[in-house]
Amino acid sequence: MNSGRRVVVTGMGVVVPHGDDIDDVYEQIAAGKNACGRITKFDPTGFLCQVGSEVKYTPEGPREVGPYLVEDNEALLFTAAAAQRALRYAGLEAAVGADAMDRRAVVLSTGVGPANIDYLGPIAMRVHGRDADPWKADLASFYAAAPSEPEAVGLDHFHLDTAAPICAVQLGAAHVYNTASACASGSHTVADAGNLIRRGEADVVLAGGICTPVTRVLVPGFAMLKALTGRNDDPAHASRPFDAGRDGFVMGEGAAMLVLESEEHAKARGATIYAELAGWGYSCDSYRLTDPQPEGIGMALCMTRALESAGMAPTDIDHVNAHGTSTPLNDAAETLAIKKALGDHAFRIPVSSNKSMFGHLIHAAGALEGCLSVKTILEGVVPPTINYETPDPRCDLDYVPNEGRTAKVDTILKNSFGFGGMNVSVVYKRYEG
Amino acid sequence: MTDDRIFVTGVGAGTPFGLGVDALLDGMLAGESRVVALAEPHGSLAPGYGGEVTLKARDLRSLPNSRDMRPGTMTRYTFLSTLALGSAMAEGEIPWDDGDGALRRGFYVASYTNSDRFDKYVRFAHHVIDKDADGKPVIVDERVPTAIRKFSGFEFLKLMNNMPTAHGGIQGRCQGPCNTFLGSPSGGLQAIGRAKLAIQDGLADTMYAGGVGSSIHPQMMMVRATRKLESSSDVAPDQAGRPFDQDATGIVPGEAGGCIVLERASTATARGANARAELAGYGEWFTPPSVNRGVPPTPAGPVRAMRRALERAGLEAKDVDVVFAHGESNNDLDRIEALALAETLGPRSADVPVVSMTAHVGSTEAAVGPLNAALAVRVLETGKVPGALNRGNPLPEYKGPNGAAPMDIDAKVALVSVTTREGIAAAVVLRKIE
Repeated sequence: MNSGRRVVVTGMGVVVPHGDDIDDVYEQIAAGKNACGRITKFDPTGFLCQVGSEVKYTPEGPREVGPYLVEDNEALLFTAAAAQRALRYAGLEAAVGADAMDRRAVVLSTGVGPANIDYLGPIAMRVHGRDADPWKADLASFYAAAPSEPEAVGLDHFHLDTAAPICAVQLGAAHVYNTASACASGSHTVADAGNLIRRGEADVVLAGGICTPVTRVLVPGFAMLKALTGRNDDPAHASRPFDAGRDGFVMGEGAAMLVLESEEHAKARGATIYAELAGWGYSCDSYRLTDPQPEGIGMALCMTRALESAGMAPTDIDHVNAHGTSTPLNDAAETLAIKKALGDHAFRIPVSSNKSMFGHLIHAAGALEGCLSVKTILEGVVPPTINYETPDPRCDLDYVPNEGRTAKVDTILKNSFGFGGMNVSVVYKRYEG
Repeated sequence: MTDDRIFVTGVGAGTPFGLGVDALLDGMLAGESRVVALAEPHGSLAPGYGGEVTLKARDLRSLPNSRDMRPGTMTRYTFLSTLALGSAMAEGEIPWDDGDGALRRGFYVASYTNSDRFDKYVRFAHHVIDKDADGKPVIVDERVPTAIRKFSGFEFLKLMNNMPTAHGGIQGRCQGPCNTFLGSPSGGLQAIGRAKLAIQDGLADTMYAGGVGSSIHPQMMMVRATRKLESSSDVAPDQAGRPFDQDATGIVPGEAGGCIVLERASTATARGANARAELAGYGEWFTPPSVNRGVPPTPAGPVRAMRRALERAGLEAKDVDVVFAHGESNNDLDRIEALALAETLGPRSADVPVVSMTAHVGSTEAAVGPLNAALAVRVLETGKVPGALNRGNPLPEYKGPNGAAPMDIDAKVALVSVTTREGIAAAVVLRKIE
């Protein structure tokens, strides 16, 4: 299918725990700086998981975009700010006029927004008072109570339906896709953007994801699923992909986006091209909702498909930016899959997990790690997998333990695998005009 | 990239009329509405009625690959998606257990997810809330660890918005591209449009594409009631859904799942499949609403989406024999959609029947596009077009036929369009295979 136009990366924008300047964020990541810690958004005492990776600042950015108010919703604030940074990085203004807008698209993945309990609680208290037993209160009278307008806004924001349209207004795009494939989402949007450009449907696509899952509901909820770390006494070392002591991932929050463009469009407007998106592959495990296929068949399949799409052989890959969640099952299955897809070459190249430093940004993870992959190609330092102390016999590749490594990296295979068995791999490549 | 033609080889649905598209079409042809008074506790929510799917988990047993289905792990959305996909797989006689065939199959579905256990969330929220020294509501964190134990971990996995796709990937043995489309009732047609392109891009030979929605969910019914978007409680349930009618009072809660099977023409032909129609064209366009939660200011977006779909099909407005529209039953959006239809169809507006299922089943969110596409396939096969239910006092902007009686027409081309309040319009064109 590698018969269409070349796709290039011309912009990157992030609002993530390490900061909101991608160049600075990369420097920290290359230096192995951790951003995971004890949760501060609420008091997690008594929670099964008390560790998170939080955005502890309010990003500068638009508070209003077209008809959308974003200032009353942290997730939308992150979205608009990340999009603004990506477009500035790319030197792009919003397109004007139907013909220009027709050539632009947004592919954004959204998780869930602010916890709806923040709004349901006050309604319940208004209806039933504080003293009624919540577990026995009459729901019919709760349902009959109309929320106030701010409460209705809050409840509605749970779905983040306006996030992708907000980005579309910022870009001036006539085509908007809001998608989700769980933890694969970020890379999924990049791959979908590649398809749109390669087949000639769009010249410019803003792709990425947003997720704010560090909430009082989702953290304990996913902890009950045994997906999250329980290393509460040592939060800075809780995210430890591929290490024998890994026990689950750290929930992270933020937004990350890439501007992808056809080569001809980027050249025509004199844009700086940072890398090429050379290929991508999709697969589905069709196996189980929670567990990856243990032999990594689906994961290997999407890596192989990405290589085919890029017209590359396994030996063309210089580095794997792993999904590497720090869960016992994923990291073992991913290791098997990398070896299946790349053969002996897997043992000769660095494989690292950026999540060791900022946890798992779920819907935004693949896009953030995509931005960092592009920076790795440009700067020549492979980020480390930090907190790697005890080798796991099932994870026997070179994970770049604890310190970044200077290396000439021309091609990176970026993996993203989601709950439900959805897998996406993309290949970033040094741009040669 | 290939330009292979794309055939529809199966359609499926789970609606208030039951399992399968024929049940829906038969009900619509009979002029029936399945919008009824809701049982408690949903009956306490305005407007007190809706189009509810009464199918149960046991109804999954008749579907292909039912042994891999886990109803206990499904939200309402996933359940409806599973019904629709299974019913489409059954009609398409897809050889889902064909080993390597799975490598070339994918699934795109549009969905929201909302927890079925909203009652628990309300009680949870009530348990953890208190007042601070100033009397303002504040969440007491130390109560959370106890309260959260009322849930199981799986309830949070179920809540993830890609779960309908995840279940479908297992149900349909899909190892190709799988994704979930969110955010707007047009998502279902976006799923179909992108699925078409996935085949044409060589990513798959067979794609299941659909959408699911349940606007009966309490949280969103409460939000709509506050915003005065919900239909009036004072209207008889079977009279409430009034697409393109001046007497419409708002959104009628409904729920459903719809799905179609798309196959590369050469793949369908090779396996001797019953090619029911051709998916000939797809188009979309985004126009931001004039104010947040308003409607698009002009019909330009849906007009562009429909024209793009026709253009890609190599057709013109004069070729359209029947339209399947959204018809939300809110005058502000229906006016925009009616203007768009009139502008797109031009002089043909007065003659081309416009079908909307809102009067029969209520608002089905992202299911509306795939269900309409499935209905369009049936109409191309049978020539039987449902009449216009509850459209006795049409909006001045609506120029189409208005008769309540069903029609027999020789339909060769169907245009399916979804215009949305979010501003994302999408359209597909289906053509009879001759």
